[in-house]
Amino acid sequence: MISTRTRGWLIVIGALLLLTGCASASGSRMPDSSILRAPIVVGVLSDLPGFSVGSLNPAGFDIDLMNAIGTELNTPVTSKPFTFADRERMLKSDNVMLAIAAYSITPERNRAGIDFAGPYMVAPMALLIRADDTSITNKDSLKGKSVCVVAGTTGEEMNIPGANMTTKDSTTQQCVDSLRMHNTDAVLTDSLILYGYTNANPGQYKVVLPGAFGELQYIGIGMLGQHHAECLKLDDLIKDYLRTQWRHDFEAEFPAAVKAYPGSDTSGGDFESQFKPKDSDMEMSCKL
Amino acid sequence: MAPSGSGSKSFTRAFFVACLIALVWTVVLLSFTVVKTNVASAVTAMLVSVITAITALIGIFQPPKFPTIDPKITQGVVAVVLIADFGMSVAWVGWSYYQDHRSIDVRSMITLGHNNNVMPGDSAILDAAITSRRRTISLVFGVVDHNDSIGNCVPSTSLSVTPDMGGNRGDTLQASSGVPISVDLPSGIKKLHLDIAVTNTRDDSNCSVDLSVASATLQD
Repeated sequence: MISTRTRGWLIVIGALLLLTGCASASGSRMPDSSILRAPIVVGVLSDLPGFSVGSLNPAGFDIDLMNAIGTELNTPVTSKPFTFADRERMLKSDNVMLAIAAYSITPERNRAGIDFAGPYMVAPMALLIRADDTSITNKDSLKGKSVCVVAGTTGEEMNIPGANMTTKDSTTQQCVDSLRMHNTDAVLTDSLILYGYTNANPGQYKVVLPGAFGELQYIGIGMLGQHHAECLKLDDLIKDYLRTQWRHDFEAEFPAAVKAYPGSDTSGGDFESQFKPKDSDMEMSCKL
Repeated sequence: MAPSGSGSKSFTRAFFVACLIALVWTVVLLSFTVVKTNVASAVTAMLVSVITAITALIGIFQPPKFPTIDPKITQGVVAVVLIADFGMSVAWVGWSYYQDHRSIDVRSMITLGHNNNVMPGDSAILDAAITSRRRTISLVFGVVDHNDSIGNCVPSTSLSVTPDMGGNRGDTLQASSGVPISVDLPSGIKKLHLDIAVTNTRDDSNCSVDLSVASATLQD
């Protein structure tokens, strides 16, 4: 049987433990490791017409998607410009929580610890050439031609037989500048990026041979792995976006692509059948 | 209490019959083991059956100078032998049934050709030696990107698998990475040949993949 005095001590010790626990809980709270915590810092490109242009007030399809996500989550979002080659490093160093930056989903990037929600866009690879160039009409016509690729993109990993692919720039704009100055004959990257340039520079360039080289690029929202629940949440938001807002934003940001795929040719379909992901494409998201 | 009179005679006859059954049953089982099993157990079974036969013959004909054994012991031994024979027979039937119907991993007997850098529209080929009689072969194919730094082909890659068994082409089956398919095997088939055509559901003509066989089992 416990004496009155012992019981008193037990009550005092219990109360102290309770107080210590409360203080510990409120004083040393674990930092919120969610990638959707406010404000959501999103890495974006600053020189990619159609996707995202501008550092201070960027605009483009990627920015439309970023804002739609912020609105749906009722959470403030802020953009931080980076380059293609910086995407993985910025995510891994926690400088940005998400990368909405024409980021193609590949197993290799998954293996490097980058997970993806989406895709929110699908695009074949293509070549950008000068509008007056009539020499590049098929794969064989690239023999001996110089093709510029951007460091850190899937284009950098590709090899076009017979073409000189030693020109590697750090931004697509630098490749396009090389093309304008006749330092290269073509720029190889996602066709939508190239349509963005034809739209921004009317009459100067044209997109040729879409789908002739490389594989379809499935563009998603990049994030560090091990955030599976948040990734699935973003997947749901992207599905909603694809259903409600995608067509409107695409028409606004990629008019040249809309014009290139009017849908009159039944074999090719319209721009939506070309560039909008299908439900089954979501299989490649949230792998980590 | 010992059996009396005519009861004792009929008991002796019954015991003699039981001895014969135990002897024949044991010898049959052990002979079966000699025929059906590998060298070590066959030699062991042969030795045991010879010893059993000699022991039984000695027991039946009872040589004059052979020491008499307590009847209770001989009855017990016969009972144990009969129970052991019964257990052995049931186990043998069960084991034989299991052996005839169990799934057999035959991945090591499969060769896969033209399976690297397969473009949509191209085909890989699979040849398998069918060493045991089974109704089906279950196959799981693995599909990976040939170059996983430039795209993501696996979700959009579909496989059309057409069996060719001695010139008779079977129905085409649809497969994808990691999903098992079951190919029916006609009776008596010794070799299986499959054409595995790669298609891309997104019409991505450059989506090149590498194929492998993740598992292959013969099943009933």
